[in-house]
Amino acid sequence: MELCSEEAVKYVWEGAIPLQIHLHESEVTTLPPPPPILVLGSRIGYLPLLVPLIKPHFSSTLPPGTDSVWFDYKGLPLKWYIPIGVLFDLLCAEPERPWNLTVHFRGHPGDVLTPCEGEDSVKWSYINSLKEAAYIINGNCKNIMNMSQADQFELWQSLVKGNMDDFLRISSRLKLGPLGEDCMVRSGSSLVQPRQAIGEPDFTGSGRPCRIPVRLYVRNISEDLDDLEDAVPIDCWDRISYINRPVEIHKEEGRLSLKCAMKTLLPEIFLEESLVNNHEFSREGETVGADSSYGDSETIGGLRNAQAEEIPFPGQAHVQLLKKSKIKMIRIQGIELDMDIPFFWVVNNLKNPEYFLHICVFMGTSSDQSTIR
Amino acid sequence: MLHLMQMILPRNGRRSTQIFPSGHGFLVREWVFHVMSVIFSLGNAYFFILLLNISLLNLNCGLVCKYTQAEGYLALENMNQLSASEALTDDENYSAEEEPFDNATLVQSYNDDMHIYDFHIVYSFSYRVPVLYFRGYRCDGHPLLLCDIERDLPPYSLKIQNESKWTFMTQEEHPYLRRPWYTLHPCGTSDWMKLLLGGDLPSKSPDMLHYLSAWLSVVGQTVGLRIPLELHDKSI
Repeated sequence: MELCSEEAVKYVWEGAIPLQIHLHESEVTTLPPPPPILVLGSRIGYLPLLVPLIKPHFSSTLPPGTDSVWFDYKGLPLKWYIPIGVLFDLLCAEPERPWNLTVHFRGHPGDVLTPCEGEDSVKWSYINSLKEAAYIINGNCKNIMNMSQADQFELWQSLVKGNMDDFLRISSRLKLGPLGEDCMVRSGSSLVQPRQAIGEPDFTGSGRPCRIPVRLYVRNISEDLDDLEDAVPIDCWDRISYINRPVEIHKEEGRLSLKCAMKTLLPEIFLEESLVNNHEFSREGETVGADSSYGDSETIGGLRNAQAEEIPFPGQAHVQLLKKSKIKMIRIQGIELDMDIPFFWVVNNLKNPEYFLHICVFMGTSSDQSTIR
Repeated sequence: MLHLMQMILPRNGRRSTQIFPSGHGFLVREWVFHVMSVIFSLGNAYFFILLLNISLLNLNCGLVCKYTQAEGYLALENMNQLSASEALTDDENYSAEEEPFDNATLVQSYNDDMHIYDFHIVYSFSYRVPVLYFRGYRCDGHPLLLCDIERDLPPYSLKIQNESKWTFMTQEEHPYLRRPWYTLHPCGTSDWMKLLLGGDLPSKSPDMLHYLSAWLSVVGQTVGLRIPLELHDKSI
């Protein structure tokens, strides 16, 4: 499989969710109430960017006051800085088309949701994420900081308008990829030796680990759920574990599968799976017959998450929760991925335009603990 | 399993008195602290994160170390930020009296103008530096708006804030609490830390206490939070 597939990237850029947006009933001041509006939300786009389309449809019925627009899905306030496609993959276990969302122009829940001041907020949230990704990949964010105003504007406009060619043209100057298994940014000449982190040994030359920007969202569903449609809707963000931590890959590692990367992000799960001898992932894996050593760092093969061995998972509660869990499904850009797919292919082709790979993981949590051991 | 190394510095019980008479800044009188470190494994290396546990005596604010078995954040909560005019009055009172205030006196000075701040120090795995998160609220629990917070900022920070609205201090999701908090953007931290520490960061056994106190001395000042000199003494 080639490292980069323009076809795959094109699919990501053209991906869109049909949205049916309702105005919240508390903001309806006219009779009859306005019908919902149907819009297409780009997977890589952000909800506030749809407001210019939605606002005119509802403006005549709104109560007096100033706008602070936000969206909810079944009562859950949606985080506007998460791309639409990721929200959909995560919150709609069974894809719902059109996706029914509610828009609010008043009563922003400031205690749980960062306010969005229109397109500028989204743009800067995007740029700051891009900077973060650049820092992870190159060890500095100079290329983003030094971007000209014109390039910055064009880059943002290409995203807003969904213009992939413009985006690829400008972003190629940022020297952020493609990432390859030689653990280098492949664009060669601009490779800057990253500043050493405190306490990090001197990784010389190619020996330094390759860091990959990943945002991981973990949602629990019932283990014996047959129909994803029956998954209990998320009513609170606390029910989703969010891990923002780069995957680190050391050069000695050979061909990496998505499974290897997942092991570094969620070592607890795989440790547990080795104990319960889950045939689901050992069946086709390249480590067939080595189930018993799943928890062994040798199997993970020099590929480590920031503190994978000592510190399995942020938050004691999550660890407890996930100890009885196994991965039911991994969804990236709406695709349910096979665990054996090469990880670098996934990174290079399915990442979002801020260079983060957003991974939605559905954990099957057993309601009956006796089935585990 | 967990390499938890406690580097507790001698807690000698000595109290140092620190008074910051400026209208801006937190009125911190006495600090007693000890330091703990948690070692994070970072690839082949160990990363030391210091958790400062600072007990603020004589003020009803406390610092809590909130971490799970493995990681967490450093919290300095219920810091009272007096509005400029009130701080001035307070200082006058202080200079007029010989004895330091006790809690009771301070409690009496509570009113609607009192702004209370919580500070958290969170380690960023992306930037590999500490990041300051904070939030402010009135004593009735009502959160402060950005304009309220801006009035509490030292003048130089306010200037930067006005110049770089989107890249200096913004509201972001707290990585652990998952709620909107204010944060100072960390993208330049490793650069200025290198300048600050003269670029000769030891690579094998970093003196993280030194690192963190130096970091806090810069970042803290941008929000008017100052650390006592004693911290530097101990870190050397």
